[in-house]
Amino acid sequence: MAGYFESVAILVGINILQALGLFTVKSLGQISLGHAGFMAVGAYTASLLTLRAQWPLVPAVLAGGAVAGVAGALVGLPALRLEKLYLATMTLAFLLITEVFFSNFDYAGGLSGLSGMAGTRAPLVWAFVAAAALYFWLVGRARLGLAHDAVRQDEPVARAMGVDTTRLKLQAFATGAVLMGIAGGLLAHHLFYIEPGLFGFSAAVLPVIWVIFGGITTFWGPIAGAAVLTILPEVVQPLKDWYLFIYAASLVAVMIVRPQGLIVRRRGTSPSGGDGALRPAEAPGAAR
Amino acid sequence: MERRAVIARRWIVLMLGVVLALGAAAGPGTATPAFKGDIPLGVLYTKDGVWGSYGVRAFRAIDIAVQDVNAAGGINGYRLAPKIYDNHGELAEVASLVRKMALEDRVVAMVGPNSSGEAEVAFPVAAATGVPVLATSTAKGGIMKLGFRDGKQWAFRNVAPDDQNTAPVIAQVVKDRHITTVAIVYDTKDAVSKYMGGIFWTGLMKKLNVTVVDVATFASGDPSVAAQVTKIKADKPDAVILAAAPGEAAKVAIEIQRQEMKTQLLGSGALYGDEFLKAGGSAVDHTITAAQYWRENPNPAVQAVLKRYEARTGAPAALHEAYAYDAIMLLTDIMKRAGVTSDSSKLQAYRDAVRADLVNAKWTGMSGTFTLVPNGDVIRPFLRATIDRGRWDIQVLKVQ
Amino acid sequence: MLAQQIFNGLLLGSTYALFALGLNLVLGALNLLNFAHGEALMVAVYAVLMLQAAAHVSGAVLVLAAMAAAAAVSMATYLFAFRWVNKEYWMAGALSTIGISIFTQTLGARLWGTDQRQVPDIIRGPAVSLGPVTATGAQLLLVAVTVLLMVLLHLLLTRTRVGRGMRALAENRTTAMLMGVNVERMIQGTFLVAGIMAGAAGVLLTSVYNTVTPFVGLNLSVKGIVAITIGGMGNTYGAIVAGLLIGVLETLTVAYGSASYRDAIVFALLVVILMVRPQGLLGVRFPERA
Repeated sequence: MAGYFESVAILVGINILQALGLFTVKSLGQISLGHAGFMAVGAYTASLLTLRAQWPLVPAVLAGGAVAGVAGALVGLPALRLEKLYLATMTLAFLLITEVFFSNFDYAGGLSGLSGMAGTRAPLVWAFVAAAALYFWLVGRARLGLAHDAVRQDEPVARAMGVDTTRLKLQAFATGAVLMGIAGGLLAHHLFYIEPGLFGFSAAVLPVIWVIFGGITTFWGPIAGAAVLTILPEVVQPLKDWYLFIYAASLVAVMIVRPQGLIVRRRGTSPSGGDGALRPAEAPGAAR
Repeated sequence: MERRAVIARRWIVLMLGVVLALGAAAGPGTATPAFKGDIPLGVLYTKDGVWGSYGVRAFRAIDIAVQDVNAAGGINGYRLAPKIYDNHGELAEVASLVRKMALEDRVVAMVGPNSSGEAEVAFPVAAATGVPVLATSTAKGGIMKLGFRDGKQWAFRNVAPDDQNTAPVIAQVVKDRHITTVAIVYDTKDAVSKYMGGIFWTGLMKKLNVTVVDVATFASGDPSVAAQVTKIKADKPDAVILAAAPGEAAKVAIEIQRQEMKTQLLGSGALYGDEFLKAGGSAVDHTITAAQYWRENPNPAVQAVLKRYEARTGAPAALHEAYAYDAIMLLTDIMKRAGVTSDSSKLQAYRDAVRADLVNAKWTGMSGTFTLVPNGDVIRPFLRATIDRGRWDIQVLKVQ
Repeated sequence: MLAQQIFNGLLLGSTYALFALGLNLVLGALNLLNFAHGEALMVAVYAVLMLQAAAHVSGAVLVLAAMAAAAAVSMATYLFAFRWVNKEYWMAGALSTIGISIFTQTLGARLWGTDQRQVPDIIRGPAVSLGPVTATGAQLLLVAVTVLLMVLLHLLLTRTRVGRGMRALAENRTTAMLMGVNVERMIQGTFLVAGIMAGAAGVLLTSVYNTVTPFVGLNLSVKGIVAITIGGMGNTYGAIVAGLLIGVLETLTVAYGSASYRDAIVFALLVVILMVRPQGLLGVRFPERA
């Protein structure tokens, strides 16, 4: 069984996976408040497979990710027709419906949750993290990455230039869901216990905070954000009474002082930061 | 000029280093001269989250208990050194912190965690690392087996699960109040409440030949229960069973009063305590519940400890304070008799000894007399509690 | 009994509607989703609780104190989540309100404990029978004041210069500026009015709620977001209609079904609306990119 430092390392890795899962969506300028719902799907699927069907851990986690991915595509289809706040609300609704579903789904433990899972170790978690990072690195260099940037900066223009934005968004949504599902399966087998309340509103909001805190222009941002904010409580244990105050105040402070996040991509024609439309004067190559 | 400044700076740094090294050597881990060494004890609760008030009380009681233990000479001359952690209501934090206490802090035993969900994460880890854990506020049924591993029970609790001592008390109430019809109201968002309302109470009423005329549900945090009360009011039940946490149950009671519904309010031991009284006010008068904690217990041994504690805090001791205080005292007694020292080479032997002694341990403390049983649960006396003009009035059914 | 349940539902719905109105004001004018609106209400309720416990004051003073407390929280939100935040990052303001929300809840939990507390009746009144429906004096007052507040808000927005400025702001900030609207003042005014409404809502809710905890705002926030989405984001009347609708729907589900799937039904309605009519029941604008 994992020791203390390994436990922290495991949690950092799982949170990075969540942040990256959200990042795929965010990198297209979309926002999902409901991705923790996919985490629930992955966690419960993987747990039921190991508990009831005696599957080994890795295939169960992968299966959880796959089921979550399918759910992601299904939710993405209608959801992605919406924009910004409406998309956020729709995904939030999905999350809350999922929570109610699992609370009443007695085969999966209902409100009492599932317990008895075990087996997550740090090398396994970090193998997944490395694979995800590699994926993002490759995508960033390929046409897919450029297409993502184009869509984030100005969707109508991207579409006019021939990018299949719908398919792209759906793909991103589903990929994000797969990562969330894998994170969920790994978490379940580390905590030895899951319940519907684990995947509620705060679970939805936390990855958003990690991603924005870390920066959304490059995949290193979410990685940094998740790592820093996961290690924070361990480091400030002496201040444990004040932890939540510090956390909340830091969030407000960062939004005021450095809303673009910790890590911002530097490049010749770097986007103006933020997500959404570029100000016309700063679009690379635009006529002045 | 500059050379002298550089040299001066180097000396300052050197001296600082020496001072720091001395300071580190004399550091916080060293026992004060009066003690032979430190015995670490893990403490894990939280002040945050929905059950934060339980944690606040537990921390306070444990602080006082530890002071009392060390003022009386510690554990055979060794200082009881609590390693105190707050998991901020996060389950993932519990997973890490139990490991930290077991493997880094090398505690002999632990108390906590705050809630049943957290216990479901903590118990298996404690069992896997071979550390006995005594919980004081986790009342969900069926979780003790998570602390069972390789033939040994590692998880214990001195708080009785809700259903354990309710049945005999309510059976008596039904008889002497001639109750023939009841309505059950429970909370679908609370696992314990859902089990009690949906399964336990219905089963009990059936056994007692009482008709359940209606069942109404609500969800924790709901602003209004008017709909539910309107529904059950129409059926005019003799009694209404409030199967929910005390604050939520009080909400229902107030609505019942507001809608001028005349009925006998009943509940399990979960309702007993200050919160139900304070939150419910006049609406909860005449409620009858089971109880597991009796502050006015006439047993002089109980009153001695209680009075001394309350003199320190200046307030009546709440259930979770009493249970946490007693947990520390029980563990101290066990460690004393097992001859625990600060010798870390014998750590696992000490842990095993404490674990073994927790099984079937019997203790009389601030919270009364209780006995731990082999599966980790606890037996407390059966108490019947009635609210009379804003105060709890306790009668004993059967003392064990 | 059906009539009584519908009345219960309308009462509950009024509380959602009042809450959603304040949320909508800020959203419509500033495109900012204020997750701390619930905390403004929570602080108002506890201010009333503390004041009542400390001294015997009249209902009017309590109401004013509640409004002041909520307005203070709202203005703090204005500063930390709007004034000092770079508007280019549209999520930054909303995330900052989440931070404010967590901070305030934790502060409340430390100051006042997480135990449920009884909410005192501001106005005591015996139950009154109106045909098939029974209501207490306080509840009837709630209905009356809610209607009054909505009417006042309507008048504010349509008849006064301030109100018209706020609406101009909601339409198009640049145009508003060009038309001589003092934008910063308007924005401050918007937060102030939203805060006052939260305070009023907090006071009125005491006749529907029986107990409170520092987390009461959190529960309302989710309902509020659902209400404004169903009603139409930024649309005042939509918030009212949606709030009432949700209240009645929830009440009837609980009365004739179970609380287990009450939330699911409301969220399912939300999903349906978003798929079929995303601008909401009364919304006119289709959601556009900011």
